[in-house]
Amino acid sequence: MNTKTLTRIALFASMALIIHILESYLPPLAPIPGIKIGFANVITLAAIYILGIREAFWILLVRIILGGFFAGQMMSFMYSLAGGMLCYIVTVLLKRFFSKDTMWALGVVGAIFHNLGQIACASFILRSFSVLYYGIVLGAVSCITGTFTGILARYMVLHFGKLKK
Amino acid sequence: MIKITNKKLILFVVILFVLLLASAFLLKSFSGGASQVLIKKDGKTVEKINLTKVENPYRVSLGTNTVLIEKEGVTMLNSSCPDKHCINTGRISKKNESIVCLPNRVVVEFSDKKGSVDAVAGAR
Repeated sequence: MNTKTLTRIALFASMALIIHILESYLPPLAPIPGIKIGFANVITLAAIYILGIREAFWILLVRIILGGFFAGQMMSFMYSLAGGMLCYIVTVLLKRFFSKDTMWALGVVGAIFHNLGQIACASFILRSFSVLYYGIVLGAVSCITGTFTGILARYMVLHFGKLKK
Repeated sequence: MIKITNKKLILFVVILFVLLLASAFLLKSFSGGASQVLIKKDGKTVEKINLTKVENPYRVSLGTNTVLIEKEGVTMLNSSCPDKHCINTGRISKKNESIVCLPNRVVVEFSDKKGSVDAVAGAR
């Protein structure tokens, strides 16, 4: 890993972390708990395209761990980790099917699997399946928020092309 | 291989959204009343209450959370958690409804007497 890559990872991670923290201070969008737009995923998704798969992994990990320290409790850290990792894995697996034009859809995929990971983690910790119903509602919301973050990530990727080198 | 275009993707996302929304709505409206209430803490069932036998409302204290049991349903009265989502859920009375307090790992849910949820709870 050379200095340039390291610096870029640090830059992206700090952007993701700031967004993560700021978002946790926003008032909830809907009376349903746990719903947020997930702006931090914009950085992860864009990093997968701009920097690469391995670099994006470190950015995600740094963001989740430090985000857990700065904005959240122990429990929300567990959910973030489960959701973030599942979201990352599925996004990376599906990445080759999407060009820069269609990559906004990966935002939807990411959002849905982020929720799926969190719901799975919650139903494991709580030993209860009643959170699954809640997952369906979150899935529907993910379609909207994911489109939004996906479009943002696409803009970011398009503009970052100018800064290459 | 099928070529992925923006048009197909938009259609797909819209269909997925409608399907999820419809199934959430159907699950909510088609669930009948239930009588067996389970209160779980840290994954273990700590209380099993038959609502039809409840005459006077009473409270169940779990240390971190207080649950109000009434004939008509169950409400979370108090919780030490920071977000208070569980209290804002209000009273639940239908089969698919539940109160979840993630920070304190408390779940209040209904179960069929011989349903799969009960079997899972019993196995732990």
